[in-house]
Order: sequence, then structure tokens, then C-alpha cells
Amino acid sequence: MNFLKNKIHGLGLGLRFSHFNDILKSEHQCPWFEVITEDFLEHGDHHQKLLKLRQDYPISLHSVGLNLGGVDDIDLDYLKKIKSIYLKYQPDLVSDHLCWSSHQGKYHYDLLPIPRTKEGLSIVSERIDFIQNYLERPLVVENITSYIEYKEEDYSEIEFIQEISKKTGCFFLLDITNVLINFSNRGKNPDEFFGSFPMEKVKQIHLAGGVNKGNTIIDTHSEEVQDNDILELKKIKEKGYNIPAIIERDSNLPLFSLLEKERQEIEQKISI
Amino acid sequence: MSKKSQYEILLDQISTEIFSLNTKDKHSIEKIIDSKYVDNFNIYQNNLFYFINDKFQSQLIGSFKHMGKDNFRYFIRKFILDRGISSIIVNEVLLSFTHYIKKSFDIHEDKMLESLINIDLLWNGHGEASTWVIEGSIIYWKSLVEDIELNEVEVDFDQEEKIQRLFIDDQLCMKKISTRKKRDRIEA
Repeated sequence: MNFLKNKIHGLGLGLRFSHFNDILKSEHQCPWFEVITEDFLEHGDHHQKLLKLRQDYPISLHSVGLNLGGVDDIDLDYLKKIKSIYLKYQPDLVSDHLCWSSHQGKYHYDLLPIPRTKEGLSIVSERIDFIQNYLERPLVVENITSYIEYKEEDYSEIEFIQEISKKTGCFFLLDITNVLINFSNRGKNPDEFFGSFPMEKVKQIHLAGGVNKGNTIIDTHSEEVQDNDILELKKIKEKGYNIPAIIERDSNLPLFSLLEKERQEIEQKISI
Repeated sequence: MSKKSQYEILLDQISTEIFSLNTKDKHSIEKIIDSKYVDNFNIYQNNLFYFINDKFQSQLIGSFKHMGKDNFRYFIRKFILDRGISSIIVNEVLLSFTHYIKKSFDIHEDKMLESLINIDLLWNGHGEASTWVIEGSIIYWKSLVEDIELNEVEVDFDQEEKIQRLFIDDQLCMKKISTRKKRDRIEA
């Protein structure tokens, strides 16, 4: 099977199952898709659809279960599956989150904040190294939304990211919305964070829409992307970083045609 | 056994608190989380509960409507508390939940539920391509899923029918392929 050789570029969308048929049948301008690894761990008709999609579009592979900040043994069966999915569909990159998501064999199905201690840094760096060696490629690591702060930590979030960059040589997926939500929830200005982020190592960007629950914005991926997030992406472009981005939408999912319309509108807003 | 590190102890505490789904004593969390954010901790408990609830509800829509929202949520909560979540693959956890519900729910009192679970799983492509259910339960399931009020549904609890999942002209369908006298326990 011949896959499209083009690399991921411009503003794409996160692939969701209920959109599959519309994406394959309709004419649209979306240039690429981010595929959730966990959706393809099991056999089924959806693999045929992804093979078909892959002939016309570049993809990236996004995981939620590598448990980079966890202490359980790295799940080699899971890692083996990721590698086989990677080899089968040839995505441009493989990413996961700077978080822990399972502990003592129990899965949280959530992205939990890593205690940013010296020990935490050492654990995360070793695991990223191991995974990169196993996959034989650099991992792309995403910053997460965090609703708590641990009492005793040695690093700020940006310091932790910079240290991981130095220790592992991994790349990053900058989730603009996660940064803005974290800083808004703490009543702080995110400019210094964005200014210090290792942009030369950012391979992909995420945009999403959350819900404001009074004092706290929750990163629900259920709403349209906010103007502030779009503006931040535009600023990054204006600095000369032409990094592929996607809109993530997981719940309150509109028809594909409506999401594609939102994507096109954002594309226009960020054009320089 | 090697001594646990501070980092591991911290993860133990956070994980246990999240899987409790409800923090009764905030003092234990206050020892490890900045006090400004203690009230946010339930976001993680809610995330876990509603992620499971919403996923399972969408895959077990007939069973959900038959049981009602409160009953369904009660069993989701009980399942998380009793069993935890032991697979990264949500569909594996879903199957585990259906076994749990079949064992926990009084199937003798509610003879229809087991059939509805089997139909939900079949419709959503979990497990085999066919299943045995109580005769007439497919009509009841359809009325639940499509929110159609039926004056009377003809159900014969002494008969079972085997239904199959198939595509006809790209449309997903379920078709009766055989019948038999009911056995004590329906095979999934």
C-alpha cells in the first residue's frame, strides 16, 4: 500500500471515529490528522479505514498510556503494539504526555501531574530514554493541564521541561490551551512560560476548548477554541516557527463538516 | 522488598485517593498538595468516574435506559471501587463491567437485563458476531434505543433466539437466525 509521503503541515484535526466516513467520503481541506494510538490497539474495521485515510493524508500518532512519570514497569506489550502501529502506518511522529496515568496496575484514564522533584526528573528521563531506544526514534512529549500543585517540588514546570529536554533529547508537543488554562487557573501571566519554552524542539502544537466552572477552567476538549489560544498560535508563527498544529475535540463532538469549518476559520485567523 | 521512594509514596497516595472517588478527609491530601489546590482534587475523581460512565453508557445504551441513570451510575461507581480499572484498553474494562453487572444485578429479578447487555455488546461489535437472547428482547431493546414507547412488547421468557450482527448495503443490522427453548443461563 502506498502512503502519502507529505509531512504533517499546517492546521489539522484530531481523528475521531464518528468522523471517519465523512473524512473518507467528503471533499475537505484538512491537510493532516492526529491519530490516537489507543484507538488502534484492537483489531477491527477501523484499521482498514485508517489505511485508506493514510493513502491521502499524513498523520501523527498520539498516545495517552506510556505513563512517563509512573513507577510501574514499562508495559512492553503496550510498547510493542505502539511500535507495530508505527511501522504499519508510518506516522511523522509519536507523542505522549508529560504525566503519569497508571499506578500499581490500575489505570486512571487521565493525565496526572508529575511531582517535579529531582527523583521525578530522574524517573521520567530514564523512562523517556528507554522508550526512545525501544521505538528507535525520538519521542515527542506534551505539556499537560494540572489542577493541583504538590507541596514539595524542586522545579517549576518550565524548568522541568528544560531539564528533560537536556537529559533525553526528546522533542515537544506544545499544548497552547493547556498552558493558558494552567496560568489562568493560577491567576498568572503565561508570557514567560511561552518565552522560555524550547521552541526549536517543538514538533507539534495542540489547540482545544475547555469549560469554565467558576474559578477553574477544565480542559474538556468539548468547546470551540478560544481567541486567546488562536492568538498565541499566531504569535508563534510570527516568530518564524511554522509548526504543524491540530484542533483536539473529544466530547460534544460536532459533525465533521462543522469542525472542518472551525478549522478553516482558525487557519484564516493565523495566516500571516 | 525494597523500600518505597518518596516519589512512589506520593503516587500511591494520589492514586488511592482518586480511586476512592470521594475524599472524606481532606487532611491527608493537604499534606501533599498545596492547600490552594486541595478543592481541585475532585476534578481527577470526577474525570475518572465520568470517563468510564460516558464510555460505558454509549456502548450499553439499551441496558443503560433499561436500568435508569441512577442505577447505572451506582454500578459504575461500585465497579470502580471494587475492581479498579485494570486494562489500558477501555473495551476490555467494558467487558469486565458487563460480567460484573451480570453477577451483581439480580438477574433473576430482572430477566431482561442480561439479554439487553448481550444485544448492546453485539450491536457495538464487542465479542462474537452472534448471541443468544430472550425471544422478543430485541424489539424491546430497539424501543429503548430509539425512545419509542410501546404499549406492549411480546417477550417469551421461555424461548431464546440467536441474533447475528451483519451489514446489509453498508447498513448495520441485527437478524434472528434461530430459536430454542430457554436454558438456565444465557450464553454470551
